[in-house]
Amino acid sequence: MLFELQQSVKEIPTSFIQVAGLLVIFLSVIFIFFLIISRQRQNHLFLQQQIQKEAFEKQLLQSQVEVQESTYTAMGKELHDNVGQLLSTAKMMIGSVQSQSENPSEVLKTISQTVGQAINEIRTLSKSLSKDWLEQFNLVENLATEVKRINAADKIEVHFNNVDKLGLLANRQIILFRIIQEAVQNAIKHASPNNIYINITTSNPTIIIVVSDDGKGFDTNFKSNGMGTLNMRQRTNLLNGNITWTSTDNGCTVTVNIPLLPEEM
Amino acid sequence: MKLYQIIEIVALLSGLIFYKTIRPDFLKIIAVLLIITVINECLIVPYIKMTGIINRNYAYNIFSLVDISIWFFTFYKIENNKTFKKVIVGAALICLAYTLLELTVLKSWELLHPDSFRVYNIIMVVMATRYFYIIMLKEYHNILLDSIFWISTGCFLFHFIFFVNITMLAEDKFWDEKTSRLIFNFLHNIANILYYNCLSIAFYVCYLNYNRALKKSPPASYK
Repeated sequence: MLFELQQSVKEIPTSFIQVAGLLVIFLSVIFIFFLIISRQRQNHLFLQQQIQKEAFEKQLLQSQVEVQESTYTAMGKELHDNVGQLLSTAKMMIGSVQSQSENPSEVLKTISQTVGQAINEIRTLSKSLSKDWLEQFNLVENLATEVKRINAADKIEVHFNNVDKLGLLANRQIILFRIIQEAVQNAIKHASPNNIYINITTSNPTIIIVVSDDGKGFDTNFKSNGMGTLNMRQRTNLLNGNITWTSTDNGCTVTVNIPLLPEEM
Repeated sequence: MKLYQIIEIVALLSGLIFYKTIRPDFLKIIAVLLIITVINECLIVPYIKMTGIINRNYAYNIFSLVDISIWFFTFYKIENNKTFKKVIVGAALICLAYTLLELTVLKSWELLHPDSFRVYNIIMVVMATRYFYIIMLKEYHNILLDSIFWISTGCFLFHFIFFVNITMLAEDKFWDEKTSRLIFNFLHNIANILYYNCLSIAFYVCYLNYNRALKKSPPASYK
């Protein structure tokens, strides 16, 4: 059997072996081409999937932010229309008691003043929560109002070094405002600072926002369960920017870098 | 000067020009191998041929031992799997032992060693194919910017063609055909052209990757 096979192999013409050899070589080169093309196609599909995934995640983030914004607006409206109205009624009633009494007491006066102050606070707070209200002004104006609101409490001094003009689109300004608002609120809540500094600088094509405080600082490695930092991160992602936290015993610094869009330059 | 010698020198020059940028570092040994190749094939062999002091197959055989060792070392370094590393070491020992046996006992240093060289060809084709398989499993891999891919491609094509060529050569009736020498030279040249060009591309890819790394661009591979 083996002998017969060897005989039959010997009978194959050499020119056939040569052609077969050339064919095999041709196929090996084709194999490499096929390998490259198939790998590149696989890469292309993977990149397309990545792009779709990123777009989906961004859309999801956008929806989350929109839901948060509408919640803030609803809260602001509730504060203004409900709590604000109740306080106004209370102030009116105190006023009526004051006018009925011939010699109104000092306590009543103080109550009236405090309620008036609360009404003003609620008005400003509800405005800062309402997206529709904020959109009427630019980021710098909104921040100035927020700074004024916090400074009015006379507990913490917020210093705001603003720029004249920010070319950000209106909806991006709101997102950035929320990031800064959250950073300031975090400092007030957790760091017990005496001073908070908000610094905005533009260095084309980037806006750099630095919010720092002279509080007690925090462990940057600590993973918080709170939504604040997560929200800040998500909102920064939505602006294609990046956010970093640095902390020492002398305070904490939040740095946000936002790249400008071509139409914002 | 023959065509394959010119291509060899071009590959060596690209290896030397981009030497500093060759990554991973162990690939630098391929540039060293090219220096040895060019010295052997462009200086030593022509000198032996001219003077006739010894049989030129001595030079080819000694060089092939160096070539086998360097390529096994390279694929050993490329391989990440510990088991396959052991397989490569085993294959290298078998291949070198068979080559020495063929040169010293079965044939002689004055003859080439086609049988053990075919074993070497097959092992190299298998090792290159394994690398292709690994990169095909990855989720994302920029094959064109992978220097090891180009080196594996060079090995795969060269050894595949060389295997076919040596096998045809071993056929008794092969040289009876009028076109035999033409076919042999054609295949030999094709194998060399593909091999040295793939090595040149690999060195150039190293240079491109080096520049990309300097510019902190995205990596060639995700995994």
